[in-house]
Amino acid sequence: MKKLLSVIVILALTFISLVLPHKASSNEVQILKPGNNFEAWLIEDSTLPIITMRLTFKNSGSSYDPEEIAGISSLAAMLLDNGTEEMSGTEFKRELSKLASRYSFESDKDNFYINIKALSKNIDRTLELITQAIIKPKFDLEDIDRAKDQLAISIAKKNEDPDHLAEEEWNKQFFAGHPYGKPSHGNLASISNISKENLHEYVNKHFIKDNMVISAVGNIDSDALGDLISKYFTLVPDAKQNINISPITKFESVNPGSIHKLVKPTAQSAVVFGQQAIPITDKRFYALSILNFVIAGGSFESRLMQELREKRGLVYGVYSFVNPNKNAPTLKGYFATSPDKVTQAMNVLNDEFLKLKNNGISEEEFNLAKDYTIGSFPLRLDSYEKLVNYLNFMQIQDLGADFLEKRNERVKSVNYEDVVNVIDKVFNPKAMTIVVVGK
Amino acid sequence: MVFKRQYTKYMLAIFLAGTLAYFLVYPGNKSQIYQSFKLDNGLEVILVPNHTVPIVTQMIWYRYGSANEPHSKSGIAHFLEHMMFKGTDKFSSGAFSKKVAQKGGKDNAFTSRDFTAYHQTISKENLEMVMEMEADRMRNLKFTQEQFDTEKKVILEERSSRVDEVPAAILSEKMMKELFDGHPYGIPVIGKREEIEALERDDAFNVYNQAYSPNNAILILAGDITRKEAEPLVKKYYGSIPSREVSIDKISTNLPENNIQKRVAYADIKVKTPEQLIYFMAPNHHTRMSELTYPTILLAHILGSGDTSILYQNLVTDKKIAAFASADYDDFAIGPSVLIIHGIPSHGNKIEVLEKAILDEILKLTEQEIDSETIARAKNELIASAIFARDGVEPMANLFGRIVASNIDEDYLDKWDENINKVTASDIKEAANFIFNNMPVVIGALEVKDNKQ
Repeated sequence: MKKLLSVIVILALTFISLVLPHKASSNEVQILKPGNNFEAWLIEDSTLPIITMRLTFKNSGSSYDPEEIAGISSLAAMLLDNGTEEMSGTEFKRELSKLASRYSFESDKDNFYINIKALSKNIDRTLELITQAIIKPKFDLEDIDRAKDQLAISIAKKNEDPDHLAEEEWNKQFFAGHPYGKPSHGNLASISNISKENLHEYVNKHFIKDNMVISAVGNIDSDALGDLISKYFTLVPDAKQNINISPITKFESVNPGSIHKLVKPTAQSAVVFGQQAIPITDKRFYALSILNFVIAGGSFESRLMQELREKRGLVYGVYSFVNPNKNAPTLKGYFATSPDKVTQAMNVLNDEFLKLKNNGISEEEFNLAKDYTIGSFPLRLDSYEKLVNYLNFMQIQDLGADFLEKRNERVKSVNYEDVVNVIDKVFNPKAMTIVVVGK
Repeated sequence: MVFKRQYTKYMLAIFLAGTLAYFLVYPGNKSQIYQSFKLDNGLEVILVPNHTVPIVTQMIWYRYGSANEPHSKSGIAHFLEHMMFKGTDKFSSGAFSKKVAQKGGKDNAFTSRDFTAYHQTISKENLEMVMEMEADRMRNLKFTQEQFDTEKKVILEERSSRVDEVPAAILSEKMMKELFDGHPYGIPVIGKREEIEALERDDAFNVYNQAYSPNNAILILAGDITRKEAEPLVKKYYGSIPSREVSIDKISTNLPENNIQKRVAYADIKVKTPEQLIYFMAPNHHTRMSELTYPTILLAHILGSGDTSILYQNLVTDKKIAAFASADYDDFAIGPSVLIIHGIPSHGNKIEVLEKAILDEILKLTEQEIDSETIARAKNELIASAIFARDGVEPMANLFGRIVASNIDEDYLDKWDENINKVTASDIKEAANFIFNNMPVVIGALEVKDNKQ
């Protein structure tokens, strides 16, 4: 990773005049276009004898699940390694185990992801197997039944956790009427409706070149990766003429602000709060990011951490995040506290939000948050795995291949007035959707 | 798929915030992995160079964890960990984290049974800054009664989130108490609620004065740093701290001479589907039968790591008794280790049926040798995991710290491939026999609680 990260880091950290001689600057993102309908992005690095890949099928996440078979994308993720037309599930898994290759399938609200980590010497066979699973998965009835049971149990287990319940309820309330409001894994009835045919339809419809995004980091050059892609990934079919996937529409919140209580027998009360925000493509995004750091963006210095934890001991942690998703950007936060303290904690939250809205942040807070946002970027990219995920994120969000360099330039250009503006125009405590789960 | 990773929950009684990473290992020849030296005041220093990114992780590990706590003071090691962020004369409360954040760094800490560790990851040129602050708080910690009282509330909330809210963690706590009856490993790392409530400010200072000194600490520096750069800095900041007489009772490594079987059941209104947990006491590097450590690593891997494992193949895929089944073993401990088996019955199957099926699988391992193809595959995976583990700076610092703080030879990683490779089918069978036939076991059941009861 030597060459590659030094480039990013030099660009990222010029403000601390970092000097890194002997580290070549040849490691930009290489773009491969094996066809006219998909791309692969590569950052080549030969420090470790491994290759990490993340393969995404866009527009294939739970928001695209038909209502009556909601959960199908999750179920497909659990089933894809259960064999191909030529191979049993056990043979398939043993084959990958022999190669010591690691893989996982997962879906979120938007997309379906395949994560691969392999020794360089085993990448060819690993990709051959994985693409077979994508192109001609087996979906035996026996495996489907097992996966349905596993999914149902996973949902039941997740529902033991108040954080998870609060998160699902928040989505339901905030995204009411929009596909993002649906539970990610469906429900017991919809899962039981899913048939073998449904699963094959899902794969045929979504696993197409037009949806495919390939990211790779590690010990492979662009020629070798190109060869593997033409050998295996070009077998992924093109879009079908008769099947249309209509992309999820942008979500515009009209929520004037609301509080929702969900009564559950939990030890603590979990609170999720959030509002509509701006996507990463908005030029004000990093001003919001800086504001988020001041609210509860991961440091002890944040206002909510100081007020809820350090001064009053009401919580163990309080965190806020900006979700940069272009369809539904949000500013959202979370904490948990004892049932007898939840009213006090909510009052503190409310006071802090009003204070922030009315009085803004100090120059000192601004500087700390900005310095952190710039300086912490290299730490987010310090392994192949982190880097490949970031690369994939850049591709999905259409940020451009030079975003690794541009990102900190954008943060540096944020000035204090930009944050004042974001507090004025974007931050809106009155429009917060708040969910409380507890006794 | 995320579900399969949730087993960390069951390790709560063992590790509070650590990672379960026995398989995260670094291969290669010795000179490439680490260098070590010792200061005159007794501080052990280990360097793990990795020049791929210009960042450094500093970790300081104190050889004092929950297992070393005085009677009825459970949770004090972890409490002190929290208080270490309250400042010194030179750096006021919160200043440490603030300075780290200003430079884009990360800092945190964690407590386990055997040690307490503090760490920062930051760009290389800021190493000196964090080193100055870490060394400063090794001897100059200050905090008020009010800060202590507020932090107690935070810690009780933390206990609620991590344990009281998680039925499997409550069960796990009860099982560890039974398995390690009378041994400090039976006490939860975070502490018993009523004992945390009764802790006093002086209790924290007593531990601080007793255990936080250079001769009871290990400093790990990983990342973009050479010995030439590190040594003067380490000497400058840590070298001037005088060593102290440290008297901490040794944790017993004694493996009981019995195979007592105990049962623990816990029913919770939140539980929607039952779970099975089985804890076998197990040998490791420090116990008798230490030669079974590597065979046990293979045994646990073959028994319950991933979908190709015996438990998953036989109980989930073939017999369909379980929806999930796995096993895990961590050889990093100063006292005895635990081999953990976890299972969730599939829909319509009773936990008793699953338990019997698990015990049957275990019995087979004590009677028959595992085939060579399966062993070869497991070795291959374990050895490859060592290569995958090199991907990242902080995880390597963590891994080295855990090895050394667990009193395991610092060349553990150099010898990993060799030690894994030399395990035979008969060694694995012997390990299975020793653990499954001769060690104490606690069989735990997480049960659905009927609302009306």
